[in-house]
Amino acid sequence: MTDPTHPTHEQLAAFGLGRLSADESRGIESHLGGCKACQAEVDTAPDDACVRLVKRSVPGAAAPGGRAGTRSEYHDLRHFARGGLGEVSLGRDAALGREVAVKRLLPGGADDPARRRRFLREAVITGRLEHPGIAPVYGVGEDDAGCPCYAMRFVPGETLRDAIRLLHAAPASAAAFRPLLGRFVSLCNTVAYAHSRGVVHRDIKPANVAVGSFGETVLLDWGLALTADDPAGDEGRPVPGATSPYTRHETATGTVLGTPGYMAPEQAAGQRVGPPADVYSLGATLWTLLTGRPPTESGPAGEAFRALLAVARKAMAAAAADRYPSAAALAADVDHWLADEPLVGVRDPWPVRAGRWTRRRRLLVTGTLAALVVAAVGGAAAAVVFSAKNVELRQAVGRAEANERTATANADKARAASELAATREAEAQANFATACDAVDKYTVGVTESPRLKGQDLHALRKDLLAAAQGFYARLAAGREDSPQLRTQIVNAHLRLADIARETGDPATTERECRAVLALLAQAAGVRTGKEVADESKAWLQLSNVLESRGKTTDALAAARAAADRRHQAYALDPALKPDILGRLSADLRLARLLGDAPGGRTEALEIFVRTTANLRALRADKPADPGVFELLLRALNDYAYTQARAAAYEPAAGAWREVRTLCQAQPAPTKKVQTHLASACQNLGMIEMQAGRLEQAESPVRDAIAIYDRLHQAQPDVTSYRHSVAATTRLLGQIHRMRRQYDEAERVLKPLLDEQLKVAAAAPSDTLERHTLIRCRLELAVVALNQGQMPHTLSQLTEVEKLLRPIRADGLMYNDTVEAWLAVARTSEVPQQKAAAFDAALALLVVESKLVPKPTVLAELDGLAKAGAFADPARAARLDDAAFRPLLGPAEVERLLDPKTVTVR
Amino acid sequence: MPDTPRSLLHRLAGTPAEVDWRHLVALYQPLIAHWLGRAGVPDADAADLGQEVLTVLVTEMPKFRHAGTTGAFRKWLRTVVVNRTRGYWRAKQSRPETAAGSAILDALEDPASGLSGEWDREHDAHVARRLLAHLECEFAPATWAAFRRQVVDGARAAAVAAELGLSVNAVLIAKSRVLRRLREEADGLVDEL
Repeated sequence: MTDPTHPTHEQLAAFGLGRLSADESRGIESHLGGCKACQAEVDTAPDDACVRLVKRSVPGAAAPGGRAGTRSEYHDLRHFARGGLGEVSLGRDAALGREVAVKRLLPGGADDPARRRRFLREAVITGRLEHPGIAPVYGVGEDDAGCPCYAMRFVPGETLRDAIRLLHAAPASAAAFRPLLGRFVSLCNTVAYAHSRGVVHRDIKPANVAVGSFGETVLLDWGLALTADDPAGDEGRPVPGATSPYTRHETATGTVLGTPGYMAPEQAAGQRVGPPADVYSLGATLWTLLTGRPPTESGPAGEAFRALLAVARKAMAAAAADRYPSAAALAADVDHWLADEPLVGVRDPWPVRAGRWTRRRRLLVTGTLAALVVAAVGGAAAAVVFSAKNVELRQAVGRAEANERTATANADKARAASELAATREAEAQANFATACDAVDKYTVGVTESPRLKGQDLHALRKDLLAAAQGFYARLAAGREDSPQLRTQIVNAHLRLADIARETGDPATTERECRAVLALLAQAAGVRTGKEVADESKAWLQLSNVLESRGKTTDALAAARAAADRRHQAYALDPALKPDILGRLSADLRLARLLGDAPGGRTEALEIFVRTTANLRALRADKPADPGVFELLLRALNDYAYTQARAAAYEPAAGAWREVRTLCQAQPAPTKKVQTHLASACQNLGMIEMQAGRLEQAESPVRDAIAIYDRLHQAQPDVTSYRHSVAATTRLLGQIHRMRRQYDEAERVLKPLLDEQLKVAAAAPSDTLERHTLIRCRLELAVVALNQGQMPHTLSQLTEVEKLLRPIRADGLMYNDTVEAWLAVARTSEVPQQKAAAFDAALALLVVESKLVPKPTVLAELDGLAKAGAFADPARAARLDDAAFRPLLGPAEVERLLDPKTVTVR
Repeated sequence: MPDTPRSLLHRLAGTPAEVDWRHLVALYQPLIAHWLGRAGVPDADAADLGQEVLTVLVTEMPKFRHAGTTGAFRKWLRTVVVNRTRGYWRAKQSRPETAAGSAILDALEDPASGLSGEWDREHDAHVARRLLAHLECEFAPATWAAFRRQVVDGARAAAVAAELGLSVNAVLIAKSRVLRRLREEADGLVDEL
């Protein structure tokens, strides 16, 4: 075709395959209409990679059509199923050699024009719908007997009703529901597609859904379907009180069309129905899927599916307007649930915990993602990535963004204004104050939002705070010399210190605190009470940082400065009086650090006594102030610790008893108060035990266990509660053991061991859980040893060794295990057993020597020598081990090798 | 007024609308989940990890410049999935639960392996399928049906025209337009298109 009036072959082929640009195509399109030759050429252009890709990508390609269709063309018919109107056989399409389903109107019905019409309606309607979830009709015709029949795609598999029955036949984990829920989502999408094509199915129920063996989910039986152009509600009049599911598909006057239980109220009432009726039926199907029973039958609903049952209920709202607006919206909610809630073995309580942990991590990831997306591309993308579940978070981010915008605007204003500072200082200050105020509010909002406080959202919180950080940094930069703005700049540095502490950056916290102190030190003239109070804040913060870095002496000095400045500020400016709690908490910090410092105990106790007295008085004034109450509890607790560390058991026990009384007097104790109470009981038990009053120890420990257990039951995903249950339970076991109540001890410890084993299995890499497990086994080993059950002791200790091996950080645990082996060696009368115990102890001691101070190792070695471990020359030679060499001088080795010397000592 | 870019990748590189992000996430989430599953990542973690990969996708995609080599984008995505999955196992301090998982990662890293080829095929088919489903709403049902019958079912234009009551010319134009639109939308994502 060289005729210049025709496009070239290449152009035509490229056009047919959509390879030309819109402009190039336009010319060919206008030419094509009048040129049959070029049409033929376009039509026969060979497929390219793109067409081949489309071919293999698009599922459920429509069958080659053709009007084939009399029954005689389908062979090997096997009866398959019988529905209300027709019977379904399975056959083979002779021409194409594929399996087909052949549906035939039941003999007897063929003469009834209405039944005939409705039977064929399925073929007509599904012929209009092209979707993988709808079985295409291959051909329509009449069989030899003149009955109408049609062939359609055969979906191998079962119906959703069968699948649901199977699922509910035996107790199944929630995870087992996922495949069917996925099918349900497909079903919703199919229905949404039909609705988009103006078709309402009107008889959606599990029995009408084929679940194919290869993942296909096909909605069958479109015989009742209504199209938008159908005459209104022609056949939809109900039979009042019809309850049998078999009454559908009858054409006698007054027929129920649809299936009770799955039918929307408006459909049952015979009104004209639309897509909402299908949404209702989908809801009923979902309900059946979840409960194993149609919604008309009552029965217990699984707790695991509370959220999904709510979805089903919404879909089944009596008023159409209250249902999901579309099948797609329903699908989206179920899909969402599937995506958001990993169901890791719901049957077992510990895996539930693991699952919850995963979910919390998921939120973390979402949070990080959100922050990243916000940073990278702005709000539009963020909105996409946030799931609806995180609406609150999204709102928080939205608010934060709005706040930040305001703050930035104000900061800009302030910056602009400050350039005019020489002439318009007052205005600058006003603007500054406004800007600071806005960002302060934002920062406090982010810092104190309980929602953002969770460990999960740490990253997001950090990100949000970083926004304010920039503002404060700009604010503080280069304005140190402006005395008028000093208050704001000091405030900015203090905020930066707060933010740095919140985001775990001690170096910056320290730098910012020091900046405040330097600024205030420069300040000439009389200082205001506010400035002195700010200085105190900086010292307090600095003390925190220094303590966390182990610089206890400096921390103490800073705490003292903080406390002093507080008192000074208080004296300077009576308006600061309401901040008495700030002053008292500065005092408490000082007292706590003093209590730890050498020689500081007396002063510490003085401050504690004064502070607690103050707090008690305050509480008498303001019995309902939670801040006073909380600080009083903290004061008593810190005081008790200080006393307990000095083995002053009586005053320590007294303070903890006071905490207990205070907490117990609370009419509606919060979780925090309950935790205080439990912890006081636990400490009380511990103190009594240490004081040797074993009988008194038991009862408070039992109280503590009960409280922790309640908290744990209420919030199973807060791991610290469970850890506390385990720790207090072990303490109880220890008390029983010390009281020689070995049976009691085992009764307490064995269930704990079982539980810890489960936990450890679920979280094998969790070191904390492993520690609890080790401690529990050690306690049981000692109990067994005391009862003379050597085999039990040995088996527990062997397990402990296995658990201990990967942990090379906890010297105390090694120490206890060495002690346990030593006890075995001392007790055992079997020489091999004794020898094995010595060897085990010595091997552990090699590791322990790197973890604990020298005197502890020497004491252990002494213990071994005393028990005769080094009588064996081979074992004695091990003292030359590289681990011990730096610890042992020749004299010490000699002493260890001479059992008599040791024994005498 | 400048035209909105006709390809998803270019829209994302320009000033994307929310719907483009939604589209991107919907396009790649299932594919990524599928491959994480194949690499042996447990379901419970696959969602998190998939989100991580999507994060990379969402943040890096606007910057992605087509390097001009065949399959640059899907290869890049494959690398992201492999690296993230390795990082995941590292963070868990465990080897992939199945040796197969590890072998899968190794094979995916090797562009010449059969599995990488499979990845490419699955990627292309998945993207083509999703984009088609997405583009369907841009066309009149008759146009779409004409395209489907010709391209998917391989029917001749005359037969399709008779079936749909359209002219042969209209049927051919329908096929041309849908294919053109698909090529535009997929530009940079799938090289065959």
